Amino acid sequence: MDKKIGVYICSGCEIGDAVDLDKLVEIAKEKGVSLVKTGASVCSPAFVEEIKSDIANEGVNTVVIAACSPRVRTDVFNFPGCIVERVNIREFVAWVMEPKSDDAQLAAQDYLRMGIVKAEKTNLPEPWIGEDLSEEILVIGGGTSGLSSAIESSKAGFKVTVIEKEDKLGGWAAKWYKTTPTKYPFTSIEEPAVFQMMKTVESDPNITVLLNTTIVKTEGMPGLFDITLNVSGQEQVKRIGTIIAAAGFTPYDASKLDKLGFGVSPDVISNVDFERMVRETGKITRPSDGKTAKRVAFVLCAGSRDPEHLPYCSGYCCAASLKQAKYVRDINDGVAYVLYKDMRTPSQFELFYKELQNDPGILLTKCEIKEVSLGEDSSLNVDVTDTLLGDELAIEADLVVLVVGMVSNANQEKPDILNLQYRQGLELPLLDTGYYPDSNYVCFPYESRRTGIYPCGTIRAPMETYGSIQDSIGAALKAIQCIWHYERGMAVHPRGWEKSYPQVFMQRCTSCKRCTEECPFGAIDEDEKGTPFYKFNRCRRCGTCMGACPERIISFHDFSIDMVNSMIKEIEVPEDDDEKLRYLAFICENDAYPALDAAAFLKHRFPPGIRFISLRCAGNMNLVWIADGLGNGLDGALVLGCKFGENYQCHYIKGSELCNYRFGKIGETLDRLGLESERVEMMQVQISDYVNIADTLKDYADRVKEIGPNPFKGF
Amino acid sequence: MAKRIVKADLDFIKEIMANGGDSVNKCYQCATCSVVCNLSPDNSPFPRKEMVMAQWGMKDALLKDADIWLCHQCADCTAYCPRGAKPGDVLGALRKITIEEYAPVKFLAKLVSKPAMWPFAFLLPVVILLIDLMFNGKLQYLADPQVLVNMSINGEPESAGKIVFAKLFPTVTGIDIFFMTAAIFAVVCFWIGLSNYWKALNSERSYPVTFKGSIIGLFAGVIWEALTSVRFKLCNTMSVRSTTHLLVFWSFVGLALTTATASVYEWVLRYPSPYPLYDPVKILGNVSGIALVIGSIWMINTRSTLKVGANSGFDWLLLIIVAGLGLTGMGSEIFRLMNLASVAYWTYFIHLTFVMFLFIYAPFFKIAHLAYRTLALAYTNLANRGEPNALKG
Repeated sequence: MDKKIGVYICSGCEIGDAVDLDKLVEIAKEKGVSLVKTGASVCSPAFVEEIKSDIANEGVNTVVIAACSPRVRTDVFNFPGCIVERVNIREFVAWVMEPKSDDAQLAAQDYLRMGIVKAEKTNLPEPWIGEDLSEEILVIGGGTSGLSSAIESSKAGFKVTVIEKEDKLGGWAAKWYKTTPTKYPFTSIEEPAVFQMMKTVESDPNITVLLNTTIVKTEGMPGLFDITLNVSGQEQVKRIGTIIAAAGFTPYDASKLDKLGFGVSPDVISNVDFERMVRETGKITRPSDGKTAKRVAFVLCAGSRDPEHLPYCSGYCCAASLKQAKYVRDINDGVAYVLYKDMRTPSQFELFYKELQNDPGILLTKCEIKEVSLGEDSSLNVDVTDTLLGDELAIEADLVVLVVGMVSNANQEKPDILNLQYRQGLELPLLDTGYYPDSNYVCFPYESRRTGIYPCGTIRAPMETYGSIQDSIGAALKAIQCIWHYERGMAVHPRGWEKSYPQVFMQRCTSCKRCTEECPFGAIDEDEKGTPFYKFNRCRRCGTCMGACPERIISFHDFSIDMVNSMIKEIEVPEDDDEKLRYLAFICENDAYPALDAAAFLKHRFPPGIRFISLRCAGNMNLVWIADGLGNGLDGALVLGCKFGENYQCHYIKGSELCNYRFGKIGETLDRLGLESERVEMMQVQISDYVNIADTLKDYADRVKEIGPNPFKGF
Repeated sequence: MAKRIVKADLDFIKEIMANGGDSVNKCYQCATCSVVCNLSPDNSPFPRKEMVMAQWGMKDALLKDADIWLCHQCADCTAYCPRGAKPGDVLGALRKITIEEYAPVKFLAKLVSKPAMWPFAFLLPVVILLIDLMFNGKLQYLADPQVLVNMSINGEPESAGKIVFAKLFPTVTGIDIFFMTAAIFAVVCFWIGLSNYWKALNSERSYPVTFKGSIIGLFAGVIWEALTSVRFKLCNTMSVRSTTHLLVFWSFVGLALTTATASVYEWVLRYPSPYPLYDPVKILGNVSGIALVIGSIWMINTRSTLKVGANSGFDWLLLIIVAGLGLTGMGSEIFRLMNLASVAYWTYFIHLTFVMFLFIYAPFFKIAHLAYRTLALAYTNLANRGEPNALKG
């Protein structure tokens, strides 16, 4: 593409007060740009019209806007068919440096040159759109979550196939007597909502139900999933667009809870068995002698929040136990002892809790279970300690119910759900806690590390009926969004606008497999010879592969190793001035960039010598940039990535962690150059760190100052 | 710590709920109540533990829990309770149940227990007074007391033409015999109830109790606390109660002194009533009577506006009796001075009904708190739980 660059420099938002715009115009001209304009407000409708007229009449096809942060005004500076490069001289210069100082001027000039060079090297992406894309949604699991996501998808006009491994729909909920409330005022127990859903699904022409069906294997990528199903012993292949994984949970095995009395008597049962008994017989009796159980003790957190069993809270159990306590009251007019560690009834279930609390026959106490033993008259003794009375209590019960937690079906020894034919394994990787395929839910609801596959309901996180229904609506929307994106050749969240995709110069690939191993989304498979190949619809465009590749052969239309190297070379290094040091800072666009923008908005002062280069993810980080930068006389380099490890905040799960790992080797590189490895640092930045990020940068700059200027200056 | 066998008594929970503690189950045991209470001791503070025990229907434990008497229904707990569980009201209900539990004549306790029974409860003193009149051959005058004005007592001419209440209820045969009997009955009932309660408090003690000093000193201390209203002064939400309770309490003391002095006048000095308005006894009686009226109406007002203990009929009954006592007492005197003979005699009859009510039901309704609380505070002092932190220097 023949480039005609137009540079537009804004003097608004205090930029004009901070830097000399005429000098910037000269700089742009020096870089060979003939069309350079300045404006008091580049984002004003009149000026935008002027840019549009330059595009139409002057043949401008590459627009460089030197103004505010690229994170704002994206709708204004949107010129279809043109490359748009934003140079941030507002947040990175005007708002954070001394106005009209040399420092501010030099920074603005550096950023402008970097932007022009980047624009020169950027290409317009041609989106990759697969052929014969499917729009159909496959729902795995015919329980509450699965059916409600199928119904929601169908309502939005999509065809859905629901597969269920059992011979009937309904899942766990259909095996229950009643469920916890799902609607206002959230005070009474209800018929399981799943029965109505089953009727709806059966009469919906958009929804196909396949019973006795499992997945033999899943191949392909979003839009082009080829799924081999085993339908009652017959194999068939189906082309599918996206997948909602609602494969549910398995109750924690109560037989492991002998310390809570399981096995002491047949009258110590799990809450699942209790529920089944009530559903099947309509009665609450003792399994040992069939007598009516008048006094029922519910032991909550049985095996939950317990490092020896499930260390997490399953969330549903407190409300479900209150529900079962209500059975004891309604059916047997008995007494229900609810023995809890903490009563956790989040969201609307507090209303349910309040309601049942008023029942004088539901007795609740905080306690730890000491022992469950066989008492006289074949009744059971539950000895509890750490009660709020400060005393130990002994409770006599006819029946003891151990309330067990949920284990995601993705967290089984052999989940056997998706059978993905991916380089990185058969099933959904477990995230965050290591127990569930859950994501950082606030930023990434319903995401798994397998693009186009959205877990919802109890496979994603422990929850009850109400939560499952809410969850499945969300997952259906995500699945539909994914379809919409791949049909337009766009990436899915978080770079949802992205049409660029990885370009690989395969001739130089050494099949080292680092990219296939490190891709956080399993987007890269290998052929028989071990040569990697991309499944583009799985790719989230994070560029982790780009950082991983030792041959540096992976790039994007608008982002590459060479491009960043060229940008680094545009940073002017003042020679013979020990005061004016230059630091390169690679910043993650997801957390560090917004944090810096926010700090700039508060007019915090940044060290004047710092030059920021935005990355898609710290995982893009290639050490060659640092080597080249320091080789060019820059005095230090810094990477601001997201928090990693437990409770990581990286948008691409492992990016910042991988960057940190690669940094472990920076010492060698710098030693080879004869430079101090302390010049280079990686820091973890959260978006909320905007408060002190300016100080963090200053401290870093001071540390480098202490080491002294880079001895390579001038070479 | 002792292990307690839980015997959940659902009827007991329902009883608490029916007696003004209807909010007991709303408690989720956060302990805000115990934290905000200025009267609660550091160790095993109330009212949370009482709330837990009440929710669990632990009747045995609660009926011998002296801590419920440390509570003075300041309602700080109720005001700060995040769940509206009104711990103050629940403890009030527990005190009621405790009084009823230990009272010896259950029939009388039942009569005053529920508002629906109150008309029958009032019938008893009325009947006693009618018998009194019959016994003294005065019944016929009740319909038309005007006739009494011109009669004289014991043929003494100076009493003729005046409204003298002794003409309806002769001092000895009408008042002393009947009211002394009622008082003796009350004292006996109190004795039985309190000794049962004392036994219960000392069986399976929750706290170590050490007897030191003299019994007189112990009770004198407790009574002094009541006379000076020290605990009430620690209340925040219902701080007004330190004033109203003091007013009513002191007016009762004043009226008791009036009665005692009047007896001396009657029996030692042979100086029969009515006394002139400048007489010291009269002044003391009138000041106390006015204080009683003001105090009781003030109490009724705060209770209805602040809605503390609003569901407790138990508390309301005492307020009605106290206000009735004051109003009819003062009314009898005013009507007598206004020379409205019939109204004065009828008001006096009603006044005596209230007095008789107070005497015969004293061990069975809220007024009994003066005895139970005194005993329980003595016990808690021995158990070193009596003195609230705020009172410790």
